[in-house]
Formats: sequence, structure tokens, C-alpha cells
Amino acid sequence: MATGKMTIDGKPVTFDQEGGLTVLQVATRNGIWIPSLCSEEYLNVRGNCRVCMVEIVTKLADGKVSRKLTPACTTLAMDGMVVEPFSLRALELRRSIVELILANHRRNCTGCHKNKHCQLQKIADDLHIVEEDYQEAFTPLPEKRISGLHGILQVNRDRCIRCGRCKAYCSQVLGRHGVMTIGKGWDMKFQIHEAFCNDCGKCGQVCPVGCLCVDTQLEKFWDALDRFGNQVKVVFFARNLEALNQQLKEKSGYHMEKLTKLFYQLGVGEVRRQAFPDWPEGYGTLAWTAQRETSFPVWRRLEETVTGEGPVIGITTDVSMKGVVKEVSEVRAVLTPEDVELLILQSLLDAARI
Amino acid sequence: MKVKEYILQEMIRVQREDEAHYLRDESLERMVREFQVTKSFLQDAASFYGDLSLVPRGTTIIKVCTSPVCHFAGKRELIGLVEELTGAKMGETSADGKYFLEPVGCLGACDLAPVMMVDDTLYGNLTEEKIKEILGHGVEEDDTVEEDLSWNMDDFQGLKRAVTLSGQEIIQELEVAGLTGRGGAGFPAAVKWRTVREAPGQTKYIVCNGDEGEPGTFKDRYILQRDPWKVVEGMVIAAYATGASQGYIYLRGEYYYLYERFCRGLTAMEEKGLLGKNILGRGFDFHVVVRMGAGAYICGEETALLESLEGGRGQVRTKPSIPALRGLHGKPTLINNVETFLCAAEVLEQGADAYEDKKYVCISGCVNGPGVYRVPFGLSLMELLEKYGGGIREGARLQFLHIGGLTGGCVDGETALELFYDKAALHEVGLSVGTGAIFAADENVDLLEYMDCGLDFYCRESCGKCTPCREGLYQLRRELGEYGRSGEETTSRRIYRLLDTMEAGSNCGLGQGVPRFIRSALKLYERSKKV
Repeated sequence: MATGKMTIDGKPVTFDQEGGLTVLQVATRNGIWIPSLCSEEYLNVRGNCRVCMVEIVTKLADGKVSRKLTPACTTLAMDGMVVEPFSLRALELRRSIVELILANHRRNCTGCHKNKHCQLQKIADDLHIVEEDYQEAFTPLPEKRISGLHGILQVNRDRCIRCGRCKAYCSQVLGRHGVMTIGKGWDMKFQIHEAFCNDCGKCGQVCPVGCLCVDTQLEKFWDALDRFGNQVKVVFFARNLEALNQQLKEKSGYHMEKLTKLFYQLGVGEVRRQAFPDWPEGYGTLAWTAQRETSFPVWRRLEETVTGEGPVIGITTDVSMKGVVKEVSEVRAVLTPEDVELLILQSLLDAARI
Repeated sequence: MKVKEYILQEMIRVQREDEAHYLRDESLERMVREFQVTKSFLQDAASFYGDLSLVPRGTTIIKVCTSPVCHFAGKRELIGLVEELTGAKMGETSADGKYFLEPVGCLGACDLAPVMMVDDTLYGNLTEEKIKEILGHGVEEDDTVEEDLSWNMDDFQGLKRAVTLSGQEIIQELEVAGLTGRGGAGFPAAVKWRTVREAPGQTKYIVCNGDEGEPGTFKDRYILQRDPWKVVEGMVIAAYATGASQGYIYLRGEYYYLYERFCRGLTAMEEKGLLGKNILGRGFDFHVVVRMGAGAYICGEETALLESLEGGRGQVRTKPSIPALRGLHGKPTLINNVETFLCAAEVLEQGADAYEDKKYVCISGCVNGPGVYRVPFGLSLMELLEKYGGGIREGARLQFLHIGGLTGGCVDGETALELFYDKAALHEVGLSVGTGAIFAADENVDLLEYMDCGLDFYCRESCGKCTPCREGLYQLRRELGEYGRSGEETTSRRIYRLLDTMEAGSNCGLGQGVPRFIRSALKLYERSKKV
């Protein structure tokens, strides 16, 4: 393994020369942040957003210095390279590119699900973009949910920055081809192909901005608690409760027992658990709907578990069950382990304040 | 299961055979089964190409050229008549479903501007009367030239000589002759050929870029109509020199009227042992197929062309991407322009030392004799326009010359005529030979309108992959419109900022090249305002 040396933002770093690494990869591996909106290591996406522009400084044979602007995600790391991600030229170019992206992006940050988690916000903020040169270019569009499914994925086309991550994830990782590009040039749009989308929400997780969002539902839990206090019932439900327990522990650090204690502390009236090992397998609610007749008994049991007097907060990781449960009117929200992680953080913060 | 590579060709074929010229759901479903791909993949690919449609178009497709050359030659005035007679608006189908007016950027016949196509027939030098005739009861004479395409075995001296040399010697000849690519970039041919030759691997490809689409350029059409076999000869020589055994000719969709004849000619060549198995008895095989494009200018860009050949969207690959090392299906691929292959065959025929480097130039605009001419380098532009172009039209005054294609630079009339047409001289003033296009604009060409027309073309034809190009072109067009109205300093500053961004940030030659056009045109505009 030949070790190469280079300097990024003044910091000397080493890298494996045979790894075929890009400048961006070397930077990431050495804890140096270079802003980027499209590049993802495990996806074949690079070179679309052009936000990661850096200046490569090379000393020529005659003593002169050559400076070249190039995207960090497409440039192969070479021994001896001097990379300046925040030189004046790189910053100016990056600023202009981010302004172009902002111009074609509907911004109502406070009403957007990705508020404070948005990568575009972070980059624009870091660049101190206060005044913007370019005119607004987006056409406002209403928010959409995928019809026929249970609305886990929210689509806001007018926030798309055309990074390509959603399409790449759906085709390359999931093999579903649920996201397609329509048209080219200025009119190019990324579109969810409803027949292939199973509302898994993964594209919402990889989307760096608020174009594709996964509805977190957490606010509804706090709202229910506020309004109904100890009438709120929390139900853990899954095909396999052990598996759910595992995922909860992994994601939030708490397993179901500790969570149960926490919920009672917060004022929840009742916490239940129920396993449904005979819940049909299949892709999302489409398969469930197809087997609805034969699955009726198990569906009935699930319904009985979640209904009752008062609002119910469900916790599960099973997409198909989640979709079904949301049909029941007493169910206020269905949380995922990610929601639970956030819930714990928020409740700890609240406790600290008290 | 059919090979994925063939998807685009199948979609083109299916649409052609359909009465309403579109891809029906049933056809897509069938293709899903045959190619084992998803319907979303097919819709995705089809939506990229201007020629393909997922909604009904019409029984007759009328392609109207929207390039600046045609725009100022009369298209602007005549488009209303076309819309009236067909009952359709640009980009739409007529109410009776008979006509669809497809806007196409440059049909490759600027010497006959303004031009339009009715299905596969090209009509040039349009006037009101001619349009009325064409759309009324058809016209006898059309401008899709059918030249005599017979050849005899004596015609392939270049190839016959090449097979007596080694691959290295052949490439050496190209180097000595100083042959550079003729598609616009002017990259040294020998370097490309050598890279492919020396690249590791058994499978290599030769691709001929026949996707001529740069507004103002029509030389490849001229060559393919008159001497396509010399182009194929060049490809065979390339295959021999690099070790490739499969070749493709990517022909733009608008040149479909050349397709059948081409295929017949290739078969004839195979029968004579000039192509196919055991060429000239030398024991090497090389097969060539013709693949059609479907209305996408960007597919003239090498990597976008390869993506299109692979059957899907013609999206430009993330750079750096070197086809000579990783090209078609990831294999070393030699891509050269039509004219480049022709010149390569000539180099081998004449011998590197005796080779006279000439350029096919395309003269259009306010001249008496617009057309394609083969000229030696080193003449002055004045000589070119006089001797070949027939001189400036009576009553017209030359405002500027646009050299190299739409992505080339504009230079004012006076300065232009003093310039010498060769790489070094042009380079000194920030211009380049480019595709060989030379558009002569007279006083009636309003610079702002010219730029707007060009940008309209680019906004539509950009692949959309990267931010600076996709967003920049749109913003640029807006700002220029604004600048024309207000002339404000802040707008001008914004324009130059956009140009800098596009130049430094774009992924490919389209986004990187447009600033050269706009900068030079703006300079002329500023000067004209001061007067």
C-alpha cells in the first residue's frame, strides 16, 4: 500500500494511493469538511451539484504556480497535491453556485420538515449568504403524498436541487427504479413513479433538502400528551418484538423497558406491547392489501390492540403495519426508532430545564 | 431477452411505425418484457430525447429549425405562416391531430436557411410560397440530396496502404501529418488513437460521431451525402491500428434520410471484403453498425454519445472521463468526428509528408454562395468569404462573423476580414476553428436577440446534470433580457458573474463554452451602444 501525502486546507493528510480515492473522500476520512450536496460514497453520484469546488495549487517546473478550480468529488487524490477548499476563488465560485441553487428552491424553512437538518441551509449559512444575486426561478407547487399509500413520503418538487441522490438510491441500492428523471436541461425533473414506489421513505432520508421528507410524526406525540395527558396510550407493535427492541436499542440507546418507564414518567396513561408473528410479508401496504381477506384475523387483532378510548401513539419499524394502523382514527401518530431517538433527546432537554 | 444497448433504437423504430408518432403504453409494456427493464427506466430514457414522445403527436411531424442562423434568415417571420397552415403551435399538436411542430436546434442545413423538415424530407430556402406549396399539396423538389454513391475498389487506397503498415506506423503518420479532431475540440488524433491502441484489453470500439448539431455547422451532412465510404475507410484503418473489432456510426436523428443508404453501402463493402470478416484478406475483422440519435444536441458530446449508444439517456458522464480508456461499456473507445475519419483515410492514402491539411468550412449568412467548401488553412477570412462564399450579398453590410459554431466567438466585421483562418492566428484573438462554421451576420442581426435565440437553444439542449450550466443558462437568458431593457451596471455585473461561474464550474464543454460566445457577443454589443 503506497501512502500518498497531500495538504487539504493547510492540514497535512495521508491516503492510500491505490484506493482510487477522490479529494473529497480523503478529506472526509481525515475529518475535514468540504461542503457538498450530491456526492455520496455508496452511491454512484458525483459531480452534479458542483458545490464542493476546491482550488488545486500546483508548482510548475519553472517556479510558477498553477491554480485550478475543480470539484473535490471528481478529482483523484494525488501525492503532493495542495488542496484549498476555502481559497478566495473557491469560495467565490461556491457562493455563486449555491446562490444558483437557492434561486431555484422554494424556501419556507420554518414550515419545512428538514428545517435545521437541511444540508443546503448548513452550507448557505456557512458561506454567510446574506444578499443573493440571482432572481427566484422556481415555480411553487403543492406538497404531494404518494397516492394509494400511507403518506410517509412527502414530496415538494419545488425544493428539488437535482442532486440525483434519490434516483441513485432507489435504482442502485433498492433496485426499484421508483424515481425517474423526466426531460433534460432546464426542464429536467426528478419524479416519483407511483407504480414502483412503495413509500419506504428511503429517498426522503437521503434527500439533502426538504424536497423529499419522511413525516416524523413526533410533534403529534407531544401534542397528544399536552392535550390528553394520561389518556394517551403507547403501543409497541411489530411482527417480532425482539427485533423491534433491538432496533430501538441501536437507534435510541434505550430498549422497550426503559422506554416504558420514560413514557410513564412523561405522563402517558398506558404502555402496551403486542407481537403479530402472522402478519403477512411483502412490500409495504400493497402486498397487505392484496392479502387482506386472508389476513383479516391478524388485522382485527392489530386493530383491537390499538383502538380504545383515547389517543394512541404507535411505535414500530414495520412499514406495512404502520401504514395499516394509521387508518384507525384513534391513532394520533406512529413513531419510528429515529423519532424515539429524537423524543429522548427532547425529553432529556426538557427535564434539564425543569 | 434483448440487449439493453438496443433500447433507444427500438423506441425510435416503434415510434416511427406508429400512426400518431408516439410510444404507446402497450409498446412500453412489451419492451419491459423484452429488455427486462422497468417501465420507469424506459420513460426516463424516452423523455430525454426531443424526437421521442410518450403522448400522441400527429401523423406528420414538422421539424422547424430554431437556430440563430435560420431565425434571422426568415424563420422568425415565417413561423407564423407554418403555425397557421398546420393549425398547430410550436411544440404542440394541431387540433385535428394531423401535425406536430417540433422545435429543433439546427437541422444541419444552414446554407439553405431557413429550413424545415416534413417527416424525413428536408426543405430549404423557405419562402411563403414554398411553405404554402409544401403544406398544401406537396412539392416535387426537395433538398435531401441523393448523390450517386457508387464506388469502386480503386477508391480505398488509404486502407490498402494502411494494412501493409503496423498500427504504430499508422499512428505515426497521423502524428506527422498533424491531424487534429474536426468535431470542434481539435484534439490531436494521433494521441487519441495511440491511447486506445495501448489501452489494456481485448475489446475495443470505434465510434464515428455523426451527431452534428452545432448551429451553423453542416459539413458532416455534406460529407455523409457525398463520400461516406471514405469515412468508413477511416474507421477501418482505425480499427486495424487500435485492435478494435466493432464500430458504430452514431447518426443524428435528423439525418435519418441517410440511414437506409448507409446500411446498404456497408453491406456492399462487406461483400467486397472491405468490411466484416478477414478484411482485405489480412485476417482482421471489423463490423460496423449505424445507430440513430433521436433529437438531442448534447449527444454530440463524446461521453453523452456513449451513454446514448448504451441505450439510455444521453447524459454527460462525470468528468474526468476518458473514452479512450473507459468508453462504450467501459471499454477503450476511439470516438472521432466524421471529417476526422475521412482525413485519416486521406493521410494514409497520400502519405503523411505529402498530406495537405484542409478543412471543410460551412459558410452561411449574408453571402452569395453559402455552402460547404474545402479550404486550405492560412487564407484570410476575407479571401474565404470572397473566393468561396461568393462575397457579401448586395446591399448587406457585414456586422460580425461567428466562427467555429454557436459556442465559438464572435468578431466584428472589420477585424474579421483581416484575420487569417488558421489555428494559431485565431487562437491569438481568442477564437478557434471549432467545427469549421463561419456565420456572416449582417446589420439586421440584433445582437441581443441573437444571444437570446442561442440561449433558448442551450437551455433546452443542456443535459441538466450540473448546476452551473442548467441554472446558469436560464439565469443568463433572463439577465440578458433585463440588460437589454435597462442597461444597468448591476445587471452587467451579474451577467459576468454567471459567465465566470459557468466557465469554472460546468462539467462539460457546453457549459464551459457558452461563456465564450456570450462574452464576445456582449463585447460587440457594448461597442455598438457606444457608437
